[in-house]
Amino acid sequence: MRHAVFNELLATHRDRVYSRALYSLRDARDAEDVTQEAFLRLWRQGGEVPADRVGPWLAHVTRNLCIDQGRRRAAARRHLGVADPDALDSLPDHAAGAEEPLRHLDLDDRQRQLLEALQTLTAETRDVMLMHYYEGRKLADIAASLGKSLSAVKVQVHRARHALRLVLEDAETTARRKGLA
Amino acid sequence: MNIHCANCGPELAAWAAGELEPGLRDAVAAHLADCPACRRELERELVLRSTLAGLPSTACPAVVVDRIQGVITREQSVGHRRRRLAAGGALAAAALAGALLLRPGAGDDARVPVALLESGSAVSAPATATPLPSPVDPAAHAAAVAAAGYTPEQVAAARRDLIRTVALAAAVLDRTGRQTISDVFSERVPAAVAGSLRPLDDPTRGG
Repeated sequence: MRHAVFNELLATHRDRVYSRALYSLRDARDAEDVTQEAFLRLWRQGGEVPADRVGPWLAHVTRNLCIDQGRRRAAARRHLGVADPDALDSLPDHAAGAEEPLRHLDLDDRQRQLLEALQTLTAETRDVMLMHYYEGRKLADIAASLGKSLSAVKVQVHRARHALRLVLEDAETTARRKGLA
Repeated sequence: MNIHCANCGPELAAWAAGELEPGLRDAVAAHLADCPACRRELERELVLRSTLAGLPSTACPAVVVDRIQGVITREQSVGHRRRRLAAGGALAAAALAGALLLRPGAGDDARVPVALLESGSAVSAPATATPLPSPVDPAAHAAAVAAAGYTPEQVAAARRDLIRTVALAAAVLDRTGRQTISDVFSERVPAAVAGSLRPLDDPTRGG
């Protein structure tokens, strides 16, 4: 791959890759590392990724890198003395008092609350939600990429929506009030 | 498909995304028209969809781009150096071997490596370039070949292999590379060979 071509792809996709990693990991430094690694992998492919597939390819790589990064973070927390490994997914990703990772972003209250609530889901479910709702990927594509049935992914999204219902109802009520005001 | 509350929920995301096939889509729509609970569920689905779809694309920090470019530049530099070293090393080794093995002036292509390197068209270069002064005395070379037990056929075959190898290596070099290797042939190799053939003043010093 020529450097000029790579630079064009970098300029086109870098914000999307970084945002995806940031919303998934909620940690700016982790998102930076994931973004860097994703584009270096693209560079090392040497032009083997067709131009029209670069976006999906990067999304796929970013997703895998986010999962790896999440696992590393979980392992680090385990080493810090968490007794119940099953409780890892429900732990906050940042210690109390740590800097709010999304505070610099231009988000409205509903987006902020929903991103917080997404962290209560398992990493895979959170990923499915971001792939479908943020990246706009079809449920069938997601099912294929995860090696699951379409029905299983539909149920996963349904259960996630149920888990998020309090935030969603609150947002719905707020929107309704604003509409009446 | 018969749609009721229990199987309507899992279809709502696909329904809102327009991913349901027509038959199922109509069945879900019919159920939604009659079921206030599932309509509320659909409202939550729409809130979820619009909220996450509306997340802004956050600017990737410039430092990340700098880091990516830095790694690529380093990798390119290392790769370039490795390729040059590999090509240069192979040619220098071939040059040294050629200087020692080939008997200058005796064969029609004895100086072909130099000719190839200087011509700029390695493989198709004619073997008629002006020979450079040899760093090896022909008589000493013949004596060394005989003492090593090589036949004239073996020497000729080795010479042909060497010429082909050098020609192929030279073909991948640019003008600067060829000039560098040509300099090695014409200056450094003769000096190194001449130095290595000079008797040591003090054998304990090494050479």
